[in-house]
Amino acid sequence: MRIEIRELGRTFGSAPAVEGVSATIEDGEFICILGPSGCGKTTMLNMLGGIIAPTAGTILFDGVDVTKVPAEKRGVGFVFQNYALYPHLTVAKNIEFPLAIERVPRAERRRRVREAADLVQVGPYLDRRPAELSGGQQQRVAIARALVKNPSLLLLDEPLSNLDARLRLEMRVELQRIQREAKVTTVFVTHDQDEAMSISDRTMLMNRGRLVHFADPQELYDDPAELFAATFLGNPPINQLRGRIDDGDLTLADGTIVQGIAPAGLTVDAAIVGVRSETVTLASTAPRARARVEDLQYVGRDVYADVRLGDARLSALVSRREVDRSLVGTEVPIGFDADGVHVFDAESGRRIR
Amino acid sequence: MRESALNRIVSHAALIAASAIMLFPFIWMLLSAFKSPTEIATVPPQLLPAELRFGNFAFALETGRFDQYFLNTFIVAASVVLLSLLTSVLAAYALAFFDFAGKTALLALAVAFMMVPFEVLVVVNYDTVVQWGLVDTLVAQILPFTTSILSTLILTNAFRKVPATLRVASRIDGASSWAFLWRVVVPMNRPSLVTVSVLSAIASWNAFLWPLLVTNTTEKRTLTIGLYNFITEGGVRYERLMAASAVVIVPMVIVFLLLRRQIINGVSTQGMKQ
Amino acid sequence: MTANRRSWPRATAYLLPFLVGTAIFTVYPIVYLLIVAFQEDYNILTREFSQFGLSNFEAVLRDPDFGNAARNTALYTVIVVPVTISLGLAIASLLARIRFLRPFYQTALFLPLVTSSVAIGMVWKYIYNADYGLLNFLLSTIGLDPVNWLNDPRWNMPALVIFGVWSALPFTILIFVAALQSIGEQYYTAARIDGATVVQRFFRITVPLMGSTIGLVAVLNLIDSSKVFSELFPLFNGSPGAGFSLYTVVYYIYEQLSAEWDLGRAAAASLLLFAAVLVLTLLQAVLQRTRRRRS
Ligand SMILES: Nc1ncnc2c1ncn2[C@@H]1O[C@H](COP(=O)(O)OP(=O)(O)OP(=O)(O)O)[C@@H](O)[C@H]1O
Ligand SMILES: [Mg+2]
Repeated sequence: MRIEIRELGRTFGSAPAVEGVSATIEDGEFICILGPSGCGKTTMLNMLGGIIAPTAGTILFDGVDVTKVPAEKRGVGFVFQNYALYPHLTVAKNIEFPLAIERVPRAERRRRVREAADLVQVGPYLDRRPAELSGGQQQRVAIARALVKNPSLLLLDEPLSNLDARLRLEMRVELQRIQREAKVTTVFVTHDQDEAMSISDRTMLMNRGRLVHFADPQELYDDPAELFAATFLGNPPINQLRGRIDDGDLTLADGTIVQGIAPAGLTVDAAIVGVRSETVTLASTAPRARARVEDLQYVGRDVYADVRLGDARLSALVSRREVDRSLVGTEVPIGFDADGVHVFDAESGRRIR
Repeated sequence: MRESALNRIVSHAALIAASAIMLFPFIWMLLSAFKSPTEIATVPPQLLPAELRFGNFAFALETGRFDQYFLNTFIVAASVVLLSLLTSVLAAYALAFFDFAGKTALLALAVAFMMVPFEVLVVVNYDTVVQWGLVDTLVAQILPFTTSILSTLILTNAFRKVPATLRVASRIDGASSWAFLWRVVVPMNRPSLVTVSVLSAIASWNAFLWPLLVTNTTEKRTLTIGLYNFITEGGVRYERLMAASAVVIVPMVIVFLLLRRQIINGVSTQGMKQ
Repeated sequence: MTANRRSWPRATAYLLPFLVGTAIFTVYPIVYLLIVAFQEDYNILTREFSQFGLSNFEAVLRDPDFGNAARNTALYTVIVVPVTISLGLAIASLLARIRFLRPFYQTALFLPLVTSSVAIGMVWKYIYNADYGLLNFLLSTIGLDPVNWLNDPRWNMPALVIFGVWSALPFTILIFVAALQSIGEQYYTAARIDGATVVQRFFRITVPLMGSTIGLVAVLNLIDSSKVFSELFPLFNGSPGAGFSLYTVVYYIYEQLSAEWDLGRAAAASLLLFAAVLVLTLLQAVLQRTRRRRS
């Protein structure tokens, strides 16, 4: 199902939780809504599900305006963060519930419950009650219940956040498999960027109720639309250098000049230059400035170098072979790969280059 | 650390004594119901009947019309339980799941009204029943108890513990609020429903003052009224009276033995409510 | 999420059966009595009255019958409530700490909760019988003279009190057990380590910690025993004892209605009874609060 969201907004009292969101989700896509706590992810999802009514804008399902259609008539599947299984019903009855409400004939019901249970692999537990299942099993049951009525849209609100780290990784893969097999348009809320990156076709990045950037995960990382996108994604967080850009040269507050970090001809009064740590090179053959190595952190295969450049601190991902402890305390020529450097307007956070 | 053996023995001895006193009238009633008129009045009293005579029960049921009373009581109690359960479930659902202006005030008023004893209201209600031409009917015995503030408050409390997300989940599953009530809320709260039903069944079965006022004929009497008339009309024949009392009491004793836990829970929440 | 201010039409639909029933059989009578109590010379048939005023209250308070009823009711209450509470607390504190045989004890002690007081009252009537009743036999075994429990005005009140305590005990024990079980076992263990005897533990731990529950149960028993009336039916065939020795306030109200058809007086007496109970309830609540503040 193709979903069009136009200028969607929701305020609680006077505070906007979601504001002016427009986006189009293509049929069969797996979309993540990503963003920090309180940015409006759940509100967005609930509006798609009809649980909350928007205060502005419209939602279209396959071109049909469903903005005013209540949840019980929208025919979407929803997986809640705490699963919300009916505690008094067995797994089979939980999965069957939407079909019973729809008064689907008994034989068909049984067949579809079986199918849904097989898809999420809870066949052996059909006679248990939710309290007798592990978190992962409950989650699968919740997915089965959401899928059993063949929804044209599946909505999930942080379904993996209650699981332990290992199970979370397993369920990610599972969820992708299930989504592909069921061929259902899916919107998945998370505040975990790795989850969003690994699972989704495209990610809606939200901040303070606004849609910041809607693109496939790699583009979000490589080509952030705003400073917020650049800082929210990536670990360690992107390095930030503040200063004035004159014809591509950056002057930091303390007067240190980083030459040619931005394209020649670019001049910005107040800029923030974002530099991914993997694009920083020490002992560069084309140095932009000199920087002092303050520490080296060995994290498994990788080494992160803490570097001081004028009044700024940078983190640089370097190869083990390039560095050793003797570098600490020395000054090195520092360079940057051009495609990992982004220039933002310090005022608005908007991307300039 | 355990209580010393002596302490425990003393405790049990005291409890057994207390239990014996509380239980004794019931045992005495059952034993006496089998006695002959002479056995009933011997001095010193004779504990056991010489033989098991069922004649007293037969007399109570047939001559005393306790078969009719039993049926009436059953019809009244069953109707009261079902109707009050229905009205209380519906009201409790609204109070627990909907937000509407004046809800808090309504709850406070309900608690205040619950404090006024029924004995005080009996007259006006009698007048109402007279106006409606319902004197000496079973309907008159049912009608005032088709709603119950106590049941409604107990159920409201229980329903409030149903997580709000279940309502949202059920909407996604296509359930209307009516379907949610009957398919989720009611089945989830079966223990509370049993408690409330048992409390109203007991109250209805044992009701006295109200049915005394609104019935005048044998056909419409319930057990307690029948029993009371049994003595005023038939004179005191204790062996028959004990058999008749047993007919009134034993069904509730059976209910108690089956549902002891629910009754105890129900009565203690009832106590805490007031 | 599910709830909003606009949901009152639907809420009303669910509430309607309850509201209608309660309005007719609870709210209407209360309002009606509140009004009638202040209407002078109310005629129950024509529903006419001369004017609003306090004459009903005046008449009731001047009525020596009402004075007698109030005295009897107060006497009954003043004996039954403390006796029930002391016995109830003692039995409950034994029962609360015992697991072995608990279902048996619960059955024996709580059975009267579900039994008709009229039916079991008949058994008591037999037990109280002056000639061949069990109680007099027991008295004779310890060398006491037989007593005419039900026909001697001096012994009517004791007979009613014994039956009243027996009837009130199960509820009292039950509430106390529930409250006692919520007191932490650790207090008792600590006291035992400190060498406190069973009796010391009862007075130094149970009683102080149970303060508010005792107050609550006292009020509930008070409300109940101030309405003493239906107990008179099985024991005394509905008469207020020999020589009116058990003429109680509710009996007075009942008589104003059934014999005198004086709804105004009955309503006034009902309000006075309700007010007295309310005052005592509030007094208890206030005492409770100051006590809590001090500790
Ligand atoms: N029912 C409500 N009433 C008032 N404010 C609300 C309500 N629901 C959400 N909000 C506010 O709207 C904003 C967005 O909330 P939302 O639940 O959508 O955030 P979220 O992105 O899902 O956060 P999280 O990751 O913590 O779940 C928050 O500031 C929140 O306080
Ligand atoms: Mg959320």
